[in-house]
Amino acid sequence: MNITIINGSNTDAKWLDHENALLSFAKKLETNHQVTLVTIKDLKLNYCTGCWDCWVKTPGVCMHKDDGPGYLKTIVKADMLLYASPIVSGFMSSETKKALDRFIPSVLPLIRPYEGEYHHLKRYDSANTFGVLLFEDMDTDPEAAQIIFENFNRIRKNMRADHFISQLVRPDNMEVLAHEISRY
Amino acid sequence: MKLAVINGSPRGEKSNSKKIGAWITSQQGLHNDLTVDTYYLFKINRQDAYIEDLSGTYILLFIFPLYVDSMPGIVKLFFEKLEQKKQAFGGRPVYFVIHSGFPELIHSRSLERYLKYYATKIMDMNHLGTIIWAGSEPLQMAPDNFFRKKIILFEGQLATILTKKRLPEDISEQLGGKEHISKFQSIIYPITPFKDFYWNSQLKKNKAKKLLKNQPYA
Repeated sequence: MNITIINGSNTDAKWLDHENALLSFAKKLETNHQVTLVTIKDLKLNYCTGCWDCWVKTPGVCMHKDDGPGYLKTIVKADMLLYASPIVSGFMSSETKKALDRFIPSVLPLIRPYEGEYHHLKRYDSANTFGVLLFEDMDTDPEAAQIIFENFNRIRKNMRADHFISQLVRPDNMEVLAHEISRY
Repeated sequence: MKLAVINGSPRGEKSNSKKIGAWITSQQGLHNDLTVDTYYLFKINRQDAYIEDLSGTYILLFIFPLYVDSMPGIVKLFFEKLEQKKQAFGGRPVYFVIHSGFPELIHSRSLERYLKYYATKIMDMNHLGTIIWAGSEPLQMAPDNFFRKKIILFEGQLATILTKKRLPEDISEQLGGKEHISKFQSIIYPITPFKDFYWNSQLKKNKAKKLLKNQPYA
């Protein structure tokens, strides 16, 4: 299975242990799977400008001349797509949100009913499992985590993925999670 | 009295958010002591200066589209910067408008929940309501007359905002939003003609219709 992990951590040093654990988590998964770990803050990735060129002018192709194409190539080939993020201002980080916004070229503008709601049609037959790994520390508010999980489940529907993973992760529990995911 | 309209659309001055902001503030001439200033968050390198400016006495009105199921990334970036200056915003009246191309309210509920959480628990602001306009997609192609009733409803909210009162609980439903589509709609929609009219016309205009399902990164 192709697993892509998107690290949406910001530059706050408090998440360094989580990021290192994420690296080990990815290495552990490599035992049984093809794994790609992408760290958004290391890319030159612009914010989406809402031009819709990727829907109506150059379908599937983003107009930005940055690292977006490489990022998109990685995520559209994934069978499992996981976003890892710290909680910043009570929500996913702006790095994570920026990366999610750049996902727009990978769906069609057209909407059709799915799970009783309107959702975009997929451009690629990709990622049947979608999820979020939320960095947890002693300041984590369960209410914020709940809101973020709920939000990612909405994104899961928009990506038309059948399976959803939502997990609070600490440096000391990622190995167990890697073991569980390895069995997928 | 000062009202800050904070436009969070990535499209900035060409956005539907701008249109909605103009509707809400169209009656500003009736309020003698009112100053309305608009801030565009797509100008990322000006966000810090905006925050300095906004730390005055403004009532805050955020307007932005639902974007991949929550706020646009530029808005989240602004929220994070704003938190760094939260002491200047405690108790501040704040309102939000989310507009979405999806016809159901359910798509925006999770974001609505977060906005309340952010305003009250992160920023200690006085959150006085969120408007969700579901099904705003025709804004792209229809004249304003098409939205006459909605425009009147938006215009009517200015008095509520300037008196720092809470928006009506059912404002999003008053705008015509339904929580979910009916089973009948979900069956009939796929066979409805013209359902993709706007997108097809745009693709045709750009000679890109044959490329609609292009997979450049496969």
